[in-house]
Amino acid sequence: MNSRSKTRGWAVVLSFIFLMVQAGIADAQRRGGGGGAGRGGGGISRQGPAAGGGFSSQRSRPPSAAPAQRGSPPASRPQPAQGAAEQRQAARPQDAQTRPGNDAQPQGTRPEERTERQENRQEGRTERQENRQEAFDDINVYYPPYGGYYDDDDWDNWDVAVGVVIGGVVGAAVASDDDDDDDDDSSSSSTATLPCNPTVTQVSGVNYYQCGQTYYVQAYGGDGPIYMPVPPPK
Amino acid sequence: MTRAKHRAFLFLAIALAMTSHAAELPAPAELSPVESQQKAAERLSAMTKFLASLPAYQVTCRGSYDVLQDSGQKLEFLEERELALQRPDRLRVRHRSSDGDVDLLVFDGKHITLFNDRANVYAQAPQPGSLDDAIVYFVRDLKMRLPLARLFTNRSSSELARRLQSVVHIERTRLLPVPTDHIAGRVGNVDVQLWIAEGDRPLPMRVVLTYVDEPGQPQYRADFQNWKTEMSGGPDTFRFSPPAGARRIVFASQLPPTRTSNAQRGDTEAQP
Repeated sequence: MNSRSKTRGWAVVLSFIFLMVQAGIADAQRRGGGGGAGRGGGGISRQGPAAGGGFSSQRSRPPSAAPAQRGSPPASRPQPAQGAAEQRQAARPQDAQTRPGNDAQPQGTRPEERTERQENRQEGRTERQENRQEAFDDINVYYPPYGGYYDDDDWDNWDVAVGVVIGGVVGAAVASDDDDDDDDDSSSSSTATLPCNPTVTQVSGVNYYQCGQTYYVQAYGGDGPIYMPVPPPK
Repeated sequence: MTRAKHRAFLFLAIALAMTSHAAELPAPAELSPVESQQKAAERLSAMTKFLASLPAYQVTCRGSYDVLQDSGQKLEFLEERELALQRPDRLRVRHRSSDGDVDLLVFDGKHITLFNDRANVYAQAPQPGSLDDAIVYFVRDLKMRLPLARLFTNRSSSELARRLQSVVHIERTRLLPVPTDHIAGRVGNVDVQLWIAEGDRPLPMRVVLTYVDEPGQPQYRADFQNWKTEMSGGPDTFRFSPPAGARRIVFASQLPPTRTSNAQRGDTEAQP
């Protein structure tokens, strides 16, 4: 009697565990996890500011508030800091050679430098727009021009946040696109996976994936292949 | 008598073990704040200069990074990079992400190529000159991902020195494969911690970057393993041959910008 009720008890417990595990798996699958290799399943994002592993960050703290909050270096900088300052000085002439208009002034001119960099980058973008090469017959592609090493100190602040690649440029560039030409008439987003089972057309060696009225091509995004909306092939 | 001998031996063994342990880990002298900063600056400079002086090296970086989700939960993702670098202009990085995706990046002196094995696609762009130029171009202009890229450039020494706001020596530790100096500082708005091998080969063994101004203060972490300061592979190391059926695609940054971009990484080729 005792042993039978024990067995029943164990059977109930095991059944309960089994059901819970099954429910868990089903839930994971429903959310797109699929038990493993899914990317961004269940609305999980794999990308953020830290993913770039850069020694600079997109977000800049207010110059005055930051040191107070996080403890500024000692006011009288001792030996090593002087050493670092000397190294900075040593680096500056070289720096100045490649940065036109930079008078190599320290902290005080930071905002001006930033403005200058912004301007330079803006110019760079304009050039890029102009430099588009017809590498593929029907899609305007260009190789972004190399902006030089000292264009800015924050060259490694990769931030997919995911305006990624393009997001940061979108506002200004698309606005200008709208004004200047009509080659970008798509309002769709680039996407990790296509929103439909597409019709595939190959034109000049390029695969176009059509979902409804929108055409996509595959491109290498900041963290892997993605699909980007493009004008229809001509 | 025998028991007494055993005890004597036991005490002797313990005493010897303690002595050798003490010899192995001498108590570090307390550094004054000035000395601490001095030592940290010196180790950082030694590391970056040593890396820049190496004509070639190979290393495995086991990294991880935090991503703050919309829910407020912070997740950590793992990745591994096998990196081979040969100055003046060659680089090969095999990247494996925690979900099994593998990307191969090759700078062959003329082209920058990035290949994704799951989708069997690759993108290619002309390489602008030296390794430093190509790395900057890849990260900034092509807007591709290469964590810790700055460490692999020749100019990391002058760049970090110029941007360094503070740095201190935290401690010596033997918990990594080799004895290291743990230093911590701030570069721009990123808190940097480095564990640098002691001695005349000051290689980075671990790095932690904290993005202090970002929500959730996410971190990027990496442990460096299997340092080899010469090239063991042949010339094919820096050569890319597209596998059968691989299709060439463009870098996303080569296309005109779209109105919005919410893309995250795609994992499969489209199935017609």
